[in-house]
Amino acid sequence: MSKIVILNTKLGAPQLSRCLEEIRAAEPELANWIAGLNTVGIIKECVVLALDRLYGCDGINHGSKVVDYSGNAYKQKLDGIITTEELPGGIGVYVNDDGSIAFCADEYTSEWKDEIKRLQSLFADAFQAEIVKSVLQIRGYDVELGQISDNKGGFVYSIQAVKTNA
Amino acid sequence: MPETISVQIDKNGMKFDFHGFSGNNCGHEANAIRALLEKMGVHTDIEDSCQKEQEVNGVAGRISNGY
Repeated sequence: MSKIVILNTKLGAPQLSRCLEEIRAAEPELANWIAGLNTVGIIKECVVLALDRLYGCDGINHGSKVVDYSGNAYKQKLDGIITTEELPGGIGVYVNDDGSIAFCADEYTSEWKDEIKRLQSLFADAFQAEIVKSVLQIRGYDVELGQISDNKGGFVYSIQAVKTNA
Repeated sequence: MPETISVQIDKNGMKFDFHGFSGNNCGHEANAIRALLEKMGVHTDIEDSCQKEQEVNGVAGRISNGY
């Protein structure tokens, strides 16, 4: 039976860091600001930027819908869709209300499953790069983000952040 | 000397190198970055404190993510 399923991801929901109390001891205003920060909008923005970064790379295309083996389309609103030659039905990415990221795709064949894992991994790295860039900009750094192929089907992201007014 | 942070992200995880930070500023900045990353769903493990890796040139600390 072929169907589109919601896939687990290693990217978690936003949470309060255990080191927040250490920050509070040195800079209580910063700790309170971080604790109250609503990051869902930033996460959604970084999801879109990460997908834009991947489109066109290594046969990755911008899809218009996610469909299963039988041609049934996934109906929930998605923040982005990737298709490749190896996964013509595509994989969808969306951000839940709590800020956690989820994927949907049809894992009908083992080849599709492998491709889904590859695309999730590529997305996770690109997303983390965009999130780190945003975090460093929030902290007042001028940030440059570079991307090169690792020659193994993945990418290495390099970020240089400088705070000139320190 | 400006405070700079170099970050590398690949399949093996994420590594932060802090340069030009003095004293406790490095650890404080690493904590702030980690807390913000976790507020955005990117969960991290600090490999070591900034003080442990402190060097003459200011290379000061690392953060790696858990996946």
